Amino acid sequence: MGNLESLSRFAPELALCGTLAFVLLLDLFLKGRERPLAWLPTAAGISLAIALALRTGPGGVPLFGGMIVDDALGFFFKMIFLMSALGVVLYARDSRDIAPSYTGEFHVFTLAVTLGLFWMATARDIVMVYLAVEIVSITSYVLAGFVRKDVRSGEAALKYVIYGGVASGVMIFGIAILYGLTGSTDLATIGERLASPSLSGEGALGEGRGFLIDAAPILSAYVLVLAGIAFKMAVAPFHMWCPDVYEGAPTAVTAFLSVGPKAAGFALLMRFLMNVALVPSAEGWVARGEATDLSALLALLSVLTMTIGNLSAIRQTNLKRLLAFSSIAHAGYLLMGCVIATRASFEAMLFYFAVYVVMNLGAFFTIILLARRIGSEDLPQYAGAGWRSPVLGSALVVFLVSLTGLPPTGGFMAKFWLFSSLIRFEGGAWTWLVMVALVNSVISLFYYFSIVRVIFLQRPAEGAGPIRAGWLAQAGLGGMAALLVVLQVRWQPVMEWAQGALK
Amino acid sequence: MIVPVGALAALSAILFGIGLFGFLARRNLLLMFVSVEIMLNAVNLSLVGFSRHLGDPRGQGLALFVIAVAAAEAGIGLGLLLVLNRNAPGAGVADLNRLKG
Repeated sequence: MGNLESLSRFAPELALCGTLAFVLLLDLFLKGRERPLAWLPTAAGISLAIALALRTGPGGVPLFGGMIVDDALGFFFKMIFLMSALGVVLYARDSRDIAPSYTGEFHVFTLAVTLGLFWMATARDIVMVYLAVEIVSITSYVLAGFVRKDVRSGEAALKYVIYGGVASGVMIFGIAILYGLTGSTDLATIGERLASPSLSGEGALGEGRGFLIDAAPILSAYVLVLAGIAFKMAVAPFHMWCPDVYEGAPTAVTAFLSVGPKAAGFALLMRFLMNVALVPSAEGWVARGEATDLSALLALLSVLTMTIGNLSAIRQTNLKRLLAFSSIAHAGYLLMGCVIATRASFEAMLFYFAVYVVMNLGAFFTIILLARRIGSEDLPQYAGAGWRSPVLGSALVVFLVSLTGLPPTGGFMAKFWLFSSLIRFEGGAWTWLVMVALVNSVISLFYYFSIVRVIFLQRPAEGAGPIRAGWLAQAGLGGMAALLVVLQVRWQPVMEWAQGALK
Repeated sequence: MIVPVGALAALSAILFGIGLFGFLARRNLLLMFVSVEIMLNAVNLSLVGFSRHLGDPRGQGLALFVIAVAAAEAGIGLGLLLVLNRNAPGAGVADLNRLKG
């Protein structure tokens, strides 16, 4: 579609752009105590974007001359981003580490990240991929360093910029090689041209001259692009920034960063695999040949990521840092779906994401509400917190049980579908990977339940009164916890939604 | 004289390697930023080289985007470095040790 026709299918993005500009201007006119009110137009704008997205629906047509596509896969991720952005905007009001005078800017940057995430999930041209990744990265650097007076926040942001700069440099180098090989920037065209037996004529690097010339540049381009995406997903060995940033950033920002960029990174990886690196087969997608097969590499990354994440999480005493390592571990589980890249495993990944967003945001939101009274994210300070606020305490337990992957929660169903898709593939060739993941889930039980132990089995300190939170905020968390329990039995609607996204 | 595209690709790969090595070896934040810039310029060189060889302007367009993004990134990075320096002087990686574990 041309540029003007595309605008009609671009309504949710336009709503977000409009809200962004409005909130930015509004913030100039609000003074002192009125400033936190900026959440109202932000939440309204995001709700409008949700309504518009539902009304427009996925169309499956390339927009803006093939730069982005509004297919069902992108639509699935867009809804996930909008829902999590709405949750973050609502719960950031209770955040203790975002000063009232900066709330307007916080909302502006949240909207900007959301827009970048939209484009990451829908880009179908490598120029757009690069720009979308950079929009998300640069705005998240600012969000990570949001508390200007706090040295830790500044340090987190600086580490994020340094690692992020290298990661994006590595990714664009891979993109440049792909461009040089195929002479195209369109993902699907790159895939087609890579498929031709020798890249003669079209490619800059000349005709096919055996493995070294044929496969080595392609493979190195894949690995470089993969490294850039892995940074966004916080996959080992590109996860080093993650715990520091999650600990140093304000909790509301951490909550958003732990779902948004991670989900967008996986959306990008799935799109890259489906269009460029793999070709469609009966069951899903397979590699073009032995030489450019990425599945062993992805399996290795998956094992590394989940093991490093879980083993490092055990010794953490800061809740945000602990959840950071837990989110690294979850990236490891999710990567298993990309190893075999069948339709069933991609569906399971999407299902996993829908559940992951609820349980991870839920855990962070509970911590926001508890930390406002406790004044810290250090685990020992939370002794008996479950008795000081039974509603928040029990909601947190549900989120943690779901993160572990135990029934009766959606987390169990998510792991069940993902693991079973691997076991059923090729007569169980990847069963060993599932075994590793199961052992890792047992390790994760240890640290998730150390939180439960502290908040419910330890006595509160002397003179520690009940923790109060707004009833709406509590009701929202209760609803999210209830949703996770309901997902154990009524998982079909979400699964059908995930299946529809891959049609 | 027309430089063959293979030589350009090799030069860009070498430059990229120098940048990456500098990033890993340096312990001064400013020099680490400079190393990242070398990497990005290596990419630009290959993009422009491929673009010229293919007779396709999109590569040069992408190179312009890379330049703009690199400037934005340097702006944010140096800004954060200034803020951090004001709160806690020193520009070494060794000073970034408050977050650990």
